[in-house]
Amino acid sequence: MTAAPAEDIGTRTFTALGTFASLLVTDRRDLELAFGLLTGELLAVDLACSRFRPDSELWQVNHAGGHPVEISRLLTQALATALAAARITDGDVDPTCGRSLARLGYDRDFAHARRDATELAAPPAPAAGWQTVELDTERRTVRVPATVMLDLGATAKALAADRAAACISAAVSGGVLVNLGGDIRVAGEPPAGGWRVGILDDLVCAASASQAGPGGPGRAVIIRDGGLATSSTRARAWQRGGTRLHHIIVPGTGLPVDSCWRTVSVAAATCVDANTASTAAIVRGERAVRWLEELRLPARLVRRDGTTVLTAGWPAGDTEHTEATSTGARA
Amino acid sequence: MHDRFEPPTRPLPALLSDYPPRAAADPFADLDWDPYYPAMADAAADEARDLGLRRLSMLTLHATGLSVVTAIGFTTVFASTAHPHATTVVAVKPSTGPATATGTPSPGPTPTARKKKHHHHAAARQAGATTAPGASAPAAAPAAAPASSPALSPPTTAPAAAPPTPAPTQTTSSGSVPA
Repeated sequence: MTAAPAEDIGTRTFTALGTFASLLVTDRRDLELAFGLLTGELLAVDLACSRFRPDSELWQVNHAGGHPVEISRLLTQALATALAAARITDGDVDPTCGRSLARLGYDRDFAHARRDATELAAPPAPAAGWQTVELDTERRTVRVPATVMLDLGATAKALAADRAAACISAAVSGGVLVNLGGDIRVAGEPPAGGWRVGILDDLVCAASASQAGPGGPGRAVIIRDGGLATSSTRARAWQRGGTRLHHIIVPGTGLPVDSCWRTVSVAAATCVDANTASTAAIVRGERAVRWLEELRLPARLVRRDGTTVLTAGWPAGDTEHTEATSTGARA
Repeated sequence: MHDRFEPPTRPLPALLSDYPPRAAADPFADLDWDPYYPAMADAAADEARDLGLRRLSMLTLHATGLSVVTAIGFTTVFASTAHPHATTVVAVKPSTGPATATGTPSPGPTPTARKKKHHHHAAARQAGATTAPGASAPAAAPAAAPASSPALSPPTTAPAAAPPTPAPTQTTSSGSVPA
């Protein structure tokens, strides 16, 4: 099969799961079908995994008072994925951080939560620990203690990207790229030259990416398969009582991590793996470099002062990306 | 074929011709059982029965021996293969300890209650429950639903540097940017 020329790529960008979503297909004629599949997948994930929707399954689990709850296949998979991420990272990426985030003010949809700048009312709450989650994947039931609140923000979006890309790839003839707020998964035959992905490591850069013109900040790499994810302490941050907070939590303290890295990008076989590694790397600090090298995960770690560390084959010559997303990757 | 019963046309032969003739002074004449009934037929039947019983007991003995050998064999096989897998894990108490110096959460109390020996079916059933370390990827995942691998896997091809052309990037990867 010959790779499609980049000019034929169809693109659509919209908002979903509290962030932006981008869909690219190598044959623009597949765009409508792929868009329908993607929006269906995102709706299903939101209904299963949202911490804020009272009609979501996760809401029912978090408010079950410690009783077991029957859950869908999708939430079973999302919980199993989150627990696997916790196990692989020795608890650095922990789905029981929900109460920690709520205590820090992230207790409603982020668009609303970040508008509240008042003092926090309660002390931080350490995560209960992922071992407290009793998930039976065979009977599809889950039980968490009454005091535990699950949050799947660290893995559910990446899982949605993996699922959607696999589903779309099975339905269309060409290649597909799904980007959910920076969590990227590609599948199928990539376009000629591969998928060109800009790496943003600054909130200002990310927030203004749609207006970034030639010469804007950032880097670009080419990927052909697997997943790519970026975690940053500068994205999804807010202020309460004059204190700057962000969404990457140290489970043992319930506080935002004070990491030596401001941004970590990782490429892996799946988007879940990439996102798990990038989030854990932020939490692990300096130890992350050796850990990523041992796992042979290509990564780009950006220190607070902007200097970078590359691991396991991440291209040293990644170029300045000349135009961030004005071609439609971002809204 | 006879349609109806027809009596024999000639007298029946003497069936018990070997019986000793009854004398008038027979001391057993007034008995209601026949003391002269020949014992030969019973002797043959007893012999046949004894022979059958001997064969049956030999068969039982062989079957018992075979069962013992089989049981020992299965026990040996289970002891050498099933034991490492046939453990069950229970949820442990939550970790409420402070973070370590490196920011890694305390793992909390060490698990776990173990059942020493399980049947393979029990082990397979337990594998479905992911409550604690050792939990595997979801078994009930839909076909088009890739889940996280047991370990983090690198991509088939590592990212490459984008050529320095004026071509725009097609998308971006940043932190979890709010909408």
